[in-house]
Amino acid sequence: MPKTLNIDPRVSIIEDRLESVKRIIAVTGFKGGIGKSVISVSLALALNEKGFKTGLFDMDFSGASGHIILNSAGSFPREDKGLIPPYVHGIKFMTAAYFSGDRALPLRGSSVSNAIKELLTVTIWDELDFLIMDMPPGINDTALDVIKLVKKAEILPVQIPSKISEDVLKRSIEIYRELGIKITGTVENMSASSKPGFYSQIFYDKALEKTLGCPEKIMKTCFYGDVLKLALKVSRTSKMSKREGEREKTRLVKQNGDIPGEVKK
Amino acid sequence: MHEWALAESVIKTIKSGKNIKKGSPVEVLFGELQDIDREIFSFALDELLKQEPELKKTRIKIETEKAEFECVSCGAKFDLKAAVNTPEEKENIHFIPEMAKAFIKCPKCRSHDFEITKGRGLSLRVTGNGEKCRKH
Repeated sequence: MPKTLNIDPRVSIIEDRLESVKRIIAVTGFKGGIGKSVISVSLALALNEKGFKTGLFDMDFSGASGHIILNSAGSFPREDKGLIPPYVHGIKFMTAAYFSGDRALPLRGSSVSNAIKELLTVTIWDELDFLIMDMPPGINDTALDVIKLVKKAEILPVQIPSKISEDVLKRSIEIYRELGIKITGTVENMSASSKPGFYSQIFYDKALEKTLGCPEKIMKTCFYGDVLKLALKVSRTSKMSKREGEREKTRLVKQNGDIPGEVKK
Repeated sequence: MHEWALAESVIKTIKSGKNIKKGSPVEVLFGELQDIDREIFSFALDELLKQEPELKKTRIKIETEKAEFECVSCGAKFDLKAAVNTPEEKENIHFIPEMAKAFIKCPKCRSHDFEITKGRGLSLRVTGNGEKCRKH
């Protein structure tokens, strides 16, 4: 009997789809509710404001929220040899929420992977300086698929001033390091005081919540002012410099003890 | 017309030669759930093949696979006929078949937690020998 092989053709084209995207930044965090999505949207708005061609891809298929923060109601991708993301407030924006509407989307692991592959296959981003990926929390199917399929993705981890958030981040960041993934630098969100060592700090702004859904109002907050500083820093660094990398490592060791997997000399 | 993007992935895969012996007939399987427009896809495939002279002799056959679902909650097996959809919902599933999880329920227990066991979307089937294939 001749052997029959089933092949998924989609994975072959994904790198081509992202070829004209200069930098891909996956905003990730290892716990929910720490502000990844608001930072992702605001970072995209800030980079766009600074003149960079920017795209935003909400990768949190089951918990999509970018469309609410950005208020993309009435927008839908255009079909032309693929799906062309619409411009929303100057950003090319793609989300599964265009297709799921106001319905909940209960997805198990393999379905998450399939949905990600499908959108990465058919979305035509064209030329971009930055593509911001808003990731779901944790190192899960989405994170593993991005690592596997989007080779040039850099990680921008977000944490909050909480022992749990810091500890989970420390363990997760080590996995990315072992896999050789670029880490742009850790961002502390909801900061209460200045601390050395972070790539960027975004201070708690109680006025932010009421502005969600109205980008013009978000862009007037103190929160956005801090994100703007982050955007400038991100746009100036191709990846975390060796010095910043060492500083980040020192900070993690100071906060949490030894880094797992690190061999003491 | 996002069929064009899917056709590009088929051509890229065949061109890569990975797991596909040169000249082997290739079967393109359309999952019933995704409801790919066969005419548009075939047109895209023809146009893309014209740009790849080395694939001139490639024989591609298109088949459709019926969609089958299995409920994780109660174990019931059902097909697309049992899952009633509006044209708008069908369109959304056409773009991302996993959207079925938002719009389709198990006809027995009404759960959205089901597996798409067959006929999801696009896939390729390659048989190692020179099995005869008509040109699409």
